[in-house]
Amino acid sequence: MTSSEGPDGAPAPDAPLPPPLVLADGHLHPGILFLRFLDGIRSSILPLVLGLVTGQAWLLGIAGAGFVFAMVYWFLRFITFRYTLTEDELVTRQGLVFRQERRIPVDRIQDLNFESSLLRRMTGLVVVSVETASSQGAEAKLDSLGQYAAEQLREALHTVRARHGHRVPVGEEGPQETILFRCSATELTLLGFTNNRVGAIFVGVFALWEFSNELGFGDRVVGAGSDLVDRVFSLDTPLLLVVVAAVLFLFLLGGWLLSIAASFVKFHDFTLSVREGVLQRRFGLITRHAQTLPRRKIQRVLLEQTFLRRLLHLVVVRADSAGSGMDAKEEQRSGRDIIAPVTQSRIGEGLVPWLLENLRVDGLEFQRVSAKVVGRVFAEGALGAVVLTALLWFAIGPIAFVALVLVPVAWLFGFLAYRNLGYRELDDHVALRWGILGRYRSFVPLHKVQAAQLQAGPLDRVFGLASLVVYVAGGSPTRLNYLPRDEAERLEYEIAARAAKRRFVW
Amino acid sequence: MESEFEIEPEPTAGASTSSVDANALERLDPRVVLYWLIAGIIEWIVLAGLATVAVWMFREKLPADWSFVLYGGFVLFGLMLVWNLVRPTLAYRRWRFSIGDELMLMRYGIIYHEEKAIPISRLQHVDLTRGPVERLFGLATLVVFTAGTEAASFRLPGLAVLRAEELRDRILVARGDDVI
Repeated sequence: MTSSEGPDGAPAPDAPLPPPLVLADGHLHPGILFLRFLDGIRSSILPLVLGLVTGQAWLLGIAGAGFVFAMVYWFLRFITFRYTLTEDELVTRQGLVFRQERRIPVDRIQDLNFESSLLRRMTGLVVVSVETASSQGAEAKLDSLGQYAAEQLREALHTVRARHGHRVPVGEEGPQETILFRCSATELTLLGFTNNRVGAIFVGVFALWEFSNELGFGDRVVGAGSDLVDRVFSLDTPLLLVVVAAVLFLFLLGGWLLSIAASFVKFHDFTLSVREGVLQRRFGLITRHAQTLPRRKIQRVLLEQTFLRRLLHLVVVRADSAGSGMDAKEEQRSGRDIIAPVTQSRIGEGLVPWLLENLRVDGLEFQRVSAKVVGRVFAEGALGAVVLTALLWFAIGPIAFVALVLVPVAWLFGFLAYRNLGYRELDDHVALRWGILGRYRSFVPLHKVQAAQLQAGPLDRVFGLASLVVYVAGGSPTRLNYLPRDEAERLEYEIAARAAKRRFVW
Repeated sequence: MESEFEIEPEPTAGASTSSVDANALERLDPRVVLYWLIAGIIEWIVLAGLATVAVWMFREKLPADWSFVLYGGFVLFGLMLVWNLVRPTLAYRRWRFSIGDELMLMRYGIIYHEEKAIPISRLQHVDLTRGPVERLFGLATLVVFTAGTEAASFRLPGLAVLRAEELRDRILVARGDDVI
């Protein structure tokens, strides 16, 4: 571990090693104790309140014990945590009973990412996460350092890396940083507008009702509710319709406003820039993120257009990197991969060459496949509709035939699926396109392909179709359904064989 | 690490893909039929036993006219037994694989047909696993792993132990030190 594996690493001296030169070291910032204190109060407040309301003493006991335990834990962690940066590695040590030591070779560190929530910003704290090339997310997290200590650590790291022969400037200063994309307020509004959050409101109302039920005044709520419902239903029919429409409209409006607000909070002032092959994103209103994504870590690029966004010529650009799979935390996952929260189609397409080398996607023609798709989707939908009708028959009688309305819808969906389905083999990439109401495009560099797979279910086989699945080292596999079987087979072998000719680098 | 990736010359792009023909594909060791059969029967016995115990324990709480549950159960477990008896032969007849210098191919599936093509240079590591019943028949399962978090392992069952070890070694040779 001491001799660096990098191409330009300093040769290890033959003489006995001198003690490593410490370039930066320190503890966590004491301010974090205050934040942990607030955290502790927040997490013990529920049992505390419940205990006071219900008069159950053991709940108070739990709250107190939990609080004390958490405080002791964080305090011990605070006093034992120490980080040291030497010429060769970054070392973190912590723990009183279980000593834990983590050594990260400097050559493997890509950058230090800074992140600070609102509270941390107010107290001048930064969470520093150590990004390495091949890891699953951050390798180590220093939560939290003072602003000055963090800057100093990054500075020292860059100096060391420069001495090791790495081209460092990934941080704040350094040569030409090109801004690729900046999300405007209009785009954020559109993002919120086209996010479907109406469902979330219903869930919220339901949860509120459940909660009030839990606390014992559910009956009163129901009483008031049924009073209201009775009064509403005693209205004339036209007036009743107006009231129902108004309620629905309010729900819709509320949902829209909520999701617009949410998109502003999350992606406020979203900036994407590039410097020396490393992409950098800064965004967030309350928690401000600054994240780097080395371009060569990108495994796949996705252009996503849900139905509404497609109508408005908008597109979401995402890039999956190695280690951004399901095991990463949800927040991290959705944050990490977003390249453009939402933007106009043309601009989104223009970003792709910055993400994948030698790839231009504006005006890219996709090869259509056989129209057998229509039959396949129609068959599945029609079968489903018939089964649904049969099941409903037992419940509601002849009205069940209404379900057969789905049959022409299935045909329409089949037609739409056919219109969207396509692929294109390029010199270094495979482009896949699919969708029914929305449209999704996926671009996979051949040198990142891990495996190709073909799948054909019974219904697929009746129509001579099959699905193609392309695996890469990040995100979920790309899946293209309803290709003609021989075409899918050819693509499967060709993609795998062409991938085998290329070297895979994380 | 300097260059983003290296492309070796691709002289026979067409030829290398069309060289996949059915003759080059290998079958599994026939003993796997017996292994699957026994594993299937054991699985069936365990499930049927659990179901019987469950019915026995709740016999007093069952509705008065519960014979339909019984008959339904009989039909279900009968079908399951038939499927478990037929499946090994069908699966064996479908299974094909090949491990070449560049690609590992697998073709299998009775109701859902599947085919997998994995570039050997992408394999991170190779495992040989042998369950108790497999050991009885001198069989082994080859499990290969590619990079990634989701669905990154692929299984090749029903290999004679010697053959499995040979294949593993061949994979390791073909893979070289390409992977970081």
